[in-house]
Amino acid sequence: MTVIDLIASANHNLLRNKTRTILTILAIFIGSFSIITTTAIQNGVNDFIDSQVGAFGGEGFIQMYGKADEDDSLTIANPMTGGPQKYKEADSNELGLVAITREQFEKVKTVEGIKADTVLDGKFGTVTYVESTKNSERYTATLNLMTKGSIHFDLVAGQMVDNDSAEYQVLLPTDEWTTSLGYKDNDEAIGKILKFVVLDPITKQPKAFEAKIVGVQAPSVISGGAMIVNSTLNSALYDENTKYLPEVEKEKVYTIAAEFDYEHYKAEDIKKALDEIGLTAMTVEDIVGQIKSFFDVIITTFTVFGYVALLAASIGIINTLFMAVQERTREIGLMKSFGMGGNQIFFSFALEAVMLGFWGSVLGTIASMAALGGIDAQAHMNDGFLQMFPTFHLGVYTIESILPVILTVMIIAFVAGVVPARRASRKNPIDALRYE
Amino acid sequence: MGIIIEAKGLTKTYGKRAAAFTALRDVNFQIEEGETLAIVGKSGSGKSTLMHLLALLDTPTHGTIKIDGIAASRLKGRKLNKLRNQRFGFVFQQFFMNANDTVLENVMLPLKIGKVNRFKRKKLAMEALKTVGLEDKAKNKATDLSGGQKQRVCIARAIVNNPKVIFADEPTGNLDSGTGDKITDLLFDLAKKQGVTLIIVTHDEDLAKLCNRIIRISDGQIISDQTVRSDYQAKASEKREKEAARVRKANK
Repeated sequence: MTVIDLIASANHNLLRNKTRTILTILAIFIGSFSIITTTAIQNGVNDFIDSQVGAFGGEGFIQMYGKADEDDSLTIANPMTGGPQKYKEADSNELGLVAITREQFEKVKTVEGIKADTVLDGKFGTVTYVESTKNSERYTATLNLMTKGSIHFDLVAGQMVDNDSAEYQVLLPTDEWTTSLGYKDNDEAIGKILKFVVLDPITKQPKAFEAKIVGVQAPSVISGGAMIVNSTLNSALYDENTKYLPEVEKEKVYTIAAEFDYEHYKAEDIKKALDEIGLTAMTVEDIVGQIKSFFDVIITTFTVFGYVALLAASIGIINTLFMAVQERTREIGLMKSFGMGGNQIFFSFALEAVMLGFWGSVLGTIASMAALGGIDAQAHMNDGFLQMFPTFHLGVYTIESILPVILTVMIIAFVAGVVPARRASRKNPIDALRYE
Repeated sequence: MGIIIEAKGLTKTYGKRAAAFTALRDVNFQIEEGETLAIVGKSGSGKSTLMHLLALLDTPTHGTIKIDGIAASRLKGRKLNKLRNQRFGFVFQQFFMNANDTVLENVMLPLKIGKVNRFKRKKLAMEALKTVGLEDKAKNKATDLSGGQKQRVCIARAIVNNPKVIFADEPTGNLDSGTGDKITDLLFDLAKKQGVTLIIVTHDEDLAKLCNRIIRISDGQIISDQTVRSDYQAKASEKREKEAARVRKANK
């Protein structure tokens, strides 16, 4: 028989005992469904994290904190350990962060692999309120700075702020801001001016800084709803905030952010070098890794369950095929006497197993797509649990994620089919024809 | 006409040592192309074993079988299967049809195994069905047929690959005598028309008498091997006589 004939007759034979076939496929379906679904959710989570950080974003971003003692754990990095902490005599702020000296700051720039022109000291400017030039509404706002380089935010309009630009620039955190500021859509807001108003700490006189809106961000978990300002605006605000402080206090910083050359240097080596300066460093990978590893644990668990289900299903395949071989004993004898080789008999039965795997996994995929697609659509509707995150899709299906699963299931099915198929292929035609 | 099958010193022993049972003992004969041969014997005589050996479904313990002068023992695996697929046709007492398949699919089976393409397969199968007069049943399920029709389908299946030899194992064993006669006529007509060598295994003397050669087997040995003017030949010449007489009458 030709391969096409073999496949056609395998499918045809499966339909002979529909109930048995459906039950076997159902078992494979459950395993495949669970694997495909968890893989899709994992893809969805990873895609979301990637889209948050940018497709290639954040690999080179590194954030540094002062280090008080060798064994001192960072309060900010470990919010879960927020019990009472002993006071240690150090130059630290209210968050328990240790001040970074100017000397350390300069040393960071000289660390091999760190891009000197991207090093930002954590002099964060604050604003009393921002005021729309369109509808004159005032809002409070938290600000953030970003290094120029590997981090690309997920933007819904416009572009990223430019730290090297002489003009004041701002990136709006969500499109909710555009409507609140009185613009009808994101595109209208781009290029418009937003006033950053700081009240003089002593005189309470307002001072406005006019910044250009350069872009709008998709809702992001990483920037946490903060407005991203460029260095120029940040410095101006910081100077205004600290204008009555003594020079030494003005220069005091608690964090440093920078970009390193991630294509040529390992994060581990950079971290080691920074450690020698007395700084603790975290890459985006460290931060995102915590979220990812949480999901990975859940997903691995479900995937393992899926494979256990498949293992059980493969016993079903073995059983189904043994019954089929038994039922078709005479037919096997007949085909052998008509000159069908043992190998072909073997493949015709093995193909039946493979087809069971194929249909089970394909149906599992389709069902998974329908189920997650439905939940995802619900979740993005008003009051849905993903309404805040339009770019987060619960299930992401790609050929690269589906095909290996289907192939694996088919291989498992084939392996399950080997023993019954071999039994069929070894039947003696005469005995098989005599079989009642 | 050449010798199509040659059996030399065929011995078949089942089991080993004390439990050994010799089903065939030193059987020698030749079958010429176009012969109609009946292998007759009681059940357990070894006649089925002999047919299985001749059809290359089984291998002898000793001795050789030559098909068209080629020793079967030299043919292995694929070549052996190909030979069986292209040269032999089989008709069984129990029909052995795939009940849920259509008549056409059943007839096409040997061609499917022989990797004949779909189009040609269908054409040849329809021709074979026409030969047995069942072309209108092509789309029917095999189970819906009567016994006689089933056996005719089996004959169509046996001739679909245009074989040189048809092995028939008690072809009328499951049929009433009337239907059996019709099947026999069909089988012999085909053998005659297409020059096929017909080897029938039977215990039915009437069926055996239709063949031009009868080999009798008892306890695994040939006890007689006669070439006769068969009843079928007699019937055929009778028919010819009648026809000639009719023509003569008509010409008068």
